[in-house]
Amino acid sequence: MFEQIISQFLLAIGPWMLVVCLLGVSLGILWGAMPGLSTTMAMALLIGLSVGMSQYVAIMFMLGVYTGSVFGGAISAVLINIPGTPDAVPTMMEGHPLAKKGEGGLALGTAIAASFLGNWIGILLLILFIPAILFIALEFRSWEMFLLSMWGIAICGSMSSGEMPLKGWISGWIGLLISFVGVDIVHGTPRYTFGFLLLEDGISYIPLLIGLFGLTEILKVLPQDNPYSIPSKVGKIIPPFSTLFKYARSSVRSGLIGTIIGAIPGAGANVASFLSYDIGRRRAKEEEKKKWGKGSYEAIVCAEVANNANVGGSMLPTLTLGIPGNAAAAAILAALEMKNVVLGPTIQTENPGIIYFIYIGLIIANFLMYGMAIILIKPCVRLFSLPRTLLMPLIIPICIVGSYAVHLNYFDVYIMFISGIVGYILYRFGFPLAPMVLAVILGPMADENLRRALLVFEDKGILEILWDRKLGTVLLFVVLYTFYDGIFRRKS
Amino acid sequence: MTNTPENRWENEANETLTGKFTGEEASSGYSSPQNDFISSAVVAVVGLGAMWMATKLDYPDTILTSPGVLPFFTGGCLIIMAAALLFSALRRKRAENSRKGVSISISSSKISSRQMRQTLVLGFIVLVYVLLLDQINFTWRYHTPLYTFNVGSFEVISIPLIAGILYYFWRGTIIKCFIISALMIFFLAIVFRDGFQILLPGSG
Repeated sequence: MFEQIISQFLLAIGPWMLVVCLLGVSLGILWGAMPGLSTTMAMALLIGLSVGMSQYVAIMFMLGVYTGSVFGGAISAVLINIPGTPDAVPTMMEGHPLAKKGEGGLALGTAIAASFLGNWIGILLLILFIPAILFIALEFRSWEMFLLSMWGIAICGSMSSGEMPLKGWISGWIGLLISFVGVDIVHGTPRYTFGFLLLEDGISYIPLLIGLFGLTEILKVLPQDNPYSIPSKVGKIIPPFSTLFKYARSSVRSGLIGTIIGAIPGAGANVASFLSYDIGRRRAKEEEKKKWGKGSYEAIVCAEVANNANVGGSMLPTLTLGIPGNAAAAAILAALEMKNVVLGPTIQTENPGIIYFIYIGLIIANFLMYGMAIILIKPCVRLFSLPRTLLMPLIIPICIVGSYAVHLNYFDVYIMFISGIVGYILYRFGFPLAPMVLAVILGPMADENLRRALLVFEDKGILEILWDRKLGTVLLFVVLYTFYDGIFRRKS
Repeated sequence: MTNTPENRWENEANETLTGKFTGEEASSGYSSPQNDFISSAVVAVVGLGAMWMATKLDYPDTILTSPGVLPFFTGGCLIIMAAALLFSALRRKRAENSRKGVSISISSSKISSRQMRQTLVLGFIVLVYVLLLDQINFTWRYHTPLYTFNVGSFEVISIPLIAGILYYFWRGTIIKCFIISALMIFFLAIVFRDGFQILLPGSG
């Protein structure tokens, strides 16, 4: 094991690796900093750039993008009161009042330092808990894998659709149907292909992801023709470590919240940062509590530590179970699968050492994120002087090239276009899009494992199955509870 | 903030008016009852279709390994969910009727119709862009001792179309739009073609 760690470390610190990671971090920060361009969209669109890269280089690039874009959302949130990513909303609520008081530089510095610390907490917990989760993960068989994938879709549906989880589940279940398109892998029977040969290969989730998050966003935003102006001066940017020491307890608590939420399939950085912000407010000292909502550094620490610790947390189920912790982690999963790395319980046997490479990659990306964040703040401010009506048209060719580059098949561009239109319609009718993407990714796993499990259980009674497969039984109750919670608790 | 229909419309209208981003999934959740009636009907039809097609799928041995098992179950779930959505919409419609006179202060329909027209135009331009890239394929190469310049149909089609979109939505001068579009497309082409050795659609 030690030899593996050393060899992966030497591989990760190679000059080309560092350059690629730096590029990923820079693009991620820039992307995340642009209003409305989410981490998921960054991952989905920039995945196309990793097509020509080798396996390890692509992993390094995507980890850089992931780490960078999660922080990037804070830049526009603090400076112009517009969150770059949804998880940066609490940072915006506290950071912008500080910026108005002339403390924008300090607020951003706090956000950068908190993001750095949050990433470390996430990485450390990832390293500590992966062996335990891998041990449990090896107990997963077909029935458990089926239930796990269904849980992922169910929880994503209930978490991303506000007070109407039903719409999230509908979106997820439609995604499941999309995942069935193509030749069935067990019997080779074409399903839902309507006689089109091109559909026999199935619908690739990369163009679907780009269409749903990229083109849909363009269709949503571009008709709004009212560009906003932004302040051109930021003030001094000093990363205040002393502020973090002052809020050490809040940092650790928020880091734990971020990592745990990240590890739950379907729950993303949005949930982590809002929950951490809310808990932080309840537990703050009286004199600090008065500042919340008017510009509190502790609140920025809570939100930024949590959404960055979420990166490490979301990698836990992604690496060990092959279940993406959130839509952005799903893009990491897609990038790795594109490079023939199958994540899941067998990761250590099929790709020995790659898990250590990912740890080291996250650590390197974190250091580079810290440096690049400080360097990029001023150019970012200049970039924000551009209205979105200018930025969005320039993303259209990126959507086209990104979806084409995956398989060099133009049919994928049509898939992207149709997904974009469907995504826009779903948005108009109040349906969330993330569950659909997650379901398209998890659908084949659910299908194959259900059929295998049904064959195994052919001669068994229900009670026997529940008793024999205790882990499966626990998961079954968890899935049922997720539906119960979504239907009844939210109603009350 | 709760995501009631009123808040959703308000969020959306505020977003439209101010150009602010209110969250990736901020508008998901409740919609107007009319919208939910349409949604439930479409979802029910999709579910029924999926179930019907699942029963038509061949399977060589036991039904337990049939390729239609999960699609059938998924279709069934969709029908149940469509029914639940329909009931939810009916309940909200009744509630809406019982408090007549309470209107939403923001005229979202006016904004929506203008937005919808522009969205349709944008969608049509993107469709034309996608179709042209599929139909027109060529590459011009100009060799120099240091570098081979490539200009393909990707650049030739993308530059005027993106410039057109910029002109329509950004409302800059045509020259400015054209220059920005050309710079962006050439940058993208160089990054993909020369930097990452990836073929571009329509050319290579």
